[in-house]
Amino acid sequence: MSFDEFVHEHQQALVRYATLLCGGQGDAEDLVQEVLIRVYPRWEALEGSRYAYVRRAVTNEFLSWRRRWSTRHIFATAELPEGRVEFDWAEPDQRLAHELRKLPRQQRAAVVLRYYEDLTDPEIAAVLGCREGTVRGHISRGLAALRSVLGSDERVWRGHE
Amino acid sequence: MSDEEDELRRLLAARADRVHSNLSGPAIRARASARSPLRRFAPVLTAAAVLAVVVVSLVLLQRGGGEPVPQVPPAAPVTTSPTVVVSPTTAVETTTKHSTESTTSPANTTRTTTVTTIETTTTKTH
Repeated sequence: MSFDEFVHEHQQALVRYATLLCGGQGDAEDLVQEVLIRVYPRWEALEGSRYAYVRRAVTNEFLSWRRRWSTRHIFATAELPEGRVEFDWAEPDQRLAHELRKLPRQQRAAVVLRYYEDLTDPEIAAVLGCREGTVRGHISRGLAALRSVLGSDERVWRGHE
Repeated sequence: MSDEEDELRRLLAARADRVHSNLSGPAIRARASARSPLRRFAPVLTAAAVLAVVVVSLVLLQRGGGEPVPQVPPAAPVTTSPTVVVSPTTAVETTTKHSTESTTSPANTTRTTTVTTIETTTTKTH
């Protein structure tokens, strides 16, 4: 498969995956494009599943890129709002995206890889470069943090009621 | 699998379905070709620069550390001679004076006693 065919076929899935990681589509497109630019010079030398390779590269870039991004892009506002800003998170998936953004990067990546990409614990551990026990811990803590969005009380999850 | 996990899968899929991107292979290839080769090797160049700085620093440290440290001349010895010499002399002088005075008075007393005894003896003989 040529590079153009790969981009045409998988760019939508890669940008969607990156959007769940980053929280915004613009950042996700920048992230995926940066990875593809780096991968292109050695495209012919890649072996195995190229989608898995690029997805792993996107994940690694996200894990290091967020740190650089937070220090590189500081946006100034003309004036501060007087009152408290309230967001209208009408749709449940938007509220989920908002809560997902609060998770630490590794936790967020583990949750998205498990529940969006449907990877197993060993596969997630290979992508993140950590042990399977660490992956299970990330997913457990990530789920605990997202329970308020998922419609059930956290106390019910923990078996107190 | 629990209901919450199913719910999470559904919400993540719904969130992802809102995204529609239009990245194209030719545009990415064009950007990759336009990117400066210096930027591609920037991490290697940075690592080499850091290594060079470390090596130069080590060499300079080794050269600077080989020179002998200038010896500071020893300070002049602090003597306590005024105290040692002066105080015993004073003590001896004081003692000498005191003993001279004390021995004179018993000597005089002895002489007086002897004279008196001789006078008594001559009276008995006559």
